[in-house]
Amino acid sequence: MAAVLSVAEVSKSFGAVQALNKVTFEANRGECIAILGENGAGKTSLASVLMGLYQPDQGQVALDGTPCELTNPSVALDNGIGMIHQHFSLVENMTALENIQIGLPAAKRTQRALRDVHGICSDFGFDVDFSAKVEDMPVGMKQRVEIIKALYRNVSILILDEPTSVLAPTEVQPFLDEIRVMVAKGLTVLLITHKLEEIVQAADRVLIMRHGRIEGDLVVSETETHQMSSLMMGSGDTGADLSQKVLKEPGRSISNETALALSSVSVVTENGVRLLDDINLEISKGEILGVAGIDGNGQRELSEAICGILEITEGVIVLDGTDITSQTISERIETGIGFVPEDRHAEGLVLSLSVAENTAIRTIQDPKFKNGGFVNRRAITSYADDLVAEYDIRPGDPSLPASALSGGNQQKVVLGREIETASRLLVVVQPTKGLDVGATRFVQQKILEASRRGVAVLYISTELEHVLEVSDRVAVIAFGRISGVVDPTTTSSQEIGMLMTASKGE
Amino acid sequence: MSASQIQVRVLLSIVIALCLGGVLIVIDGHNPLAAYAALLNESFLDYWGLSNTLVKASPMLLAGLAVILPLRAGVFNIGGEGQIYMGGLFGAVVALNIPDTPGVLGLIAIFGAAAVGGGLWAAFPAYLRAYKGTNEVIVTLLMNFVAIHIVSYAVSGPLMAEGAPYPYSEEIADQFKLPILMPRSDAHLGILIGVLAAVLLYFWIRSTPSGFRLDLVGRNARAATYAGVNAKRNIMMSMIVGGALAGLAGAIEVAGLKYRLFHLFSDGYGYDGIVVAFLAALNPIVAPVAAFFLAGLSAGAGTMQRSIGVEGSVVEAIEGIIVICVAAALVVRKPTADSGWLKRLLPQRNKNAGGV
Repeated sequence: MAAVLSVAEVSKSFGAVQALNKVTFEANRGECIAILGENGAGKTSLASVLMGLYQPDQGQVALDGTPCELTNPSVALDNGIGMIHQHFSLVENMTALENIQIGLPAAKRTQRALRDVHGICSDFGFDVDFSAKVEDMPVGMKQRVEIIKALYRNVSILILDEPTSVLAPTEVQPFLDEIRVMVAKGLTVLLITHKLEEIVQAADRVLIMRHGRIEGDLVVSETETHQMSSLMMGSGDTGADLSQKVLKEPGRSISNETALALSSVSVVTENGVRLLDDINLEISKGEILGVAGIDGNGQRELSEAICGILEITEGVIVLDGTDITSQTISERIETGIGFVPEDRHAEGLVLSLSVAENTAIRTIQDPKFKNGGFVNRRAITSYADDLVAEYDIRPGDPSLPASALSGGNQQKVVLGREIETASRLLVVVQPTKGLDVGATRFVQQKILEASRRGVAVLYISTELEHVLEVSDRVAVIAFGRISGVVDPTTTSSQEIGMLMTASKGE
Repeated sequence: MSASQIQVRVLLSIVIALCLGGVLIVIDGHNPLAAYAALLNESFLDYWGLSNTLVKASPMLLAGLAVILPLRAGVFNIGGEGQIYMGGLFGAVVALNIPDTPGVLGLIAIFGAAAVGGGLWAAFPAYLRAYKGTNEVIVTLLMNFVAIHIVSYAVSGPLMAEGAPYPYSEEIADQFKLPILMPRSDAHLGILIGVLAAVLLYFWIRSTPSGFRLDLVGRNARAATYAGVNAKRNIMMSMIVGGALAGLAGAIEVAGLKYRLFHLFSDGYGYDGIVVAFLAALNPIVAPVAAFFLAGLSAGAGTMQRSIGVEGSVVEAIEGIIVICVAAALVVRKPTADSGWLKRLLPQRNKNAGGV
């Protein structure tokens, strides 16, 4: 019997980036295949090819042995491939039933159709109130509605993109059980995830992706979890090898005076999801603490909690002996916290203002930018001139609007502004995003310089190599928790990989 | 786009709109050049016409500023009309009830009260917008009608002048009447109040830290928040100050022109303010010019009708065309080789020809 889905030598590249490199695998009826990989490993690209969103450059997708051209998502759906995205595509103020039937011809929206929907539910053991509006449902229920919507369209291959990331902890187990039920009924499920625990519980096979390639196609029951994580992270290098280009001077001394201390910091959403879960961290003056982890594990929340943008539910944040937990954002800026947010366009810059004005947006109250209570534009311009020269921001004209700069140069504006103004603490998130190798080095040097001035640095990045290169210690964040703190000179990628995917209670 | 580029564009768009309006005048069976000449002559060059233009320009200018300031903080105040009415009401109540004081003190009290009235009327939708996320356009718009009816009630009830044939209040004392700027005409000091307000707003936004922060909120509220700016408070402040400015316009109508509170005393000046704001491309220092121009056009409607015979509705249509052209000028981007239709027309460079 031919496999339900066979993917043969599929490659896809975007410019110089090889997103998928000769990906080959088969999936059978009644099988759950997990797809595991770091950010940018190619998981989402693979799903997009199967959904008809991307056309592969090379290779072929066959369904039930017949080659198929999946030219767009509706073709994919007609061929029985459905996908549940992390962000649901439900109409909030319509009922579950209306959502399930949305977009179908009126003929299908009959009493019989209602019976069909009920049939699906009893087959799969779903318990859904179809007359309830989606907006009133908990997240797990919404997800169930999405799945029923796909099943109602006779999907035989269901792709789930990080399905548990939106669920409350108590909703995860029932959801994994539902996957097993679907699989038992003959459905093929592709589960994109980076949680090893879920793979063990729900999947039959696991495809491990790295740099667009399938690095391993393993039977879950015969595989140890550390095997999976080391395949995901690549060769079993030690940290010393990874960070051989370490930029820190040997034997650099770090004060033993604590600058930033987080104790039992948690952020809990209304639905009970713990975005940050009991975080305890300390950074000394002049120390660089790296935070490694897979994207979306609480990095953004951690940075925003420290800088005052996100209110914390529990815990205390202390900077240089002062409790800053209830300080406003601007009070924290005045205290000397610099912050390079993840999204420079939306959060770091005002694109319609000039580069010069952008260098002053966080510190317009600073006496150096004022002249008897008024904004001193000349002072701002001359400050910006210095910053532009120092950070080699191009084109070197601070009167240009920030929108006229390339992404990398915009990033340098934000970095320069924050590195130069941070006097006690610098929080940087993905600082090297969009920078070339030379600029990355330069930024890392600047961050090191700041640490030499005694500034404590929290260096959050998903680029593990960069984290290891600059950090004195590396904390690994997984599912909103700090799963471990390691020494970058002695750790191995295997160790970090385990910590990144570590489940709770370890 | 730099500020000067914007102004050039707005000027060009007005020229285009007047050309299109000329077509309408031709269709109406008249000579557009003669019509525009009459307009120019009678609205701007003639002594009486100019005074009439200035009388209209004062409330339009303040109402325009009442739109500009909140919009610089990212919120759209459509409630200028209601704020004018509340300003007029508060101002009139004070003018009719304060004891015999010197004119200057009295005027300060009247205008202060008017600012409070307009500001209060704006504070409610501002609070809903900033703290509850309610759409300010709808709330401010609907509150206009409430304010208009409150004034109608006041002047046909508690404030109604004895023996008045229709709803208006008693006349205010002579010393509280705004001084006349152009002798023997109606043109009063109101225009100077408006120009002063425009200049102050300009310097506030441009040269003070608080104005800089308010402007940040309008340009990118998220980045402003990350920069430590309290976006909600700035939204509140911009709306309240905007409402206060519109309130001043109400007091100008009462103390400068009509000397009484009439029902329906403002003929849509609050809405004219929206047009002024866009004509000025949200720059307060340009608002006086924009208000002067719009007031001239509006005053000239009658002129064109009387001297040339152009329909009044044609003049209104021309005003509408101006608004559309100016709005288009502010959003349409100059086509470059990387965008829009030009890209499709130009031969594509081979992407693989090297470089990134």
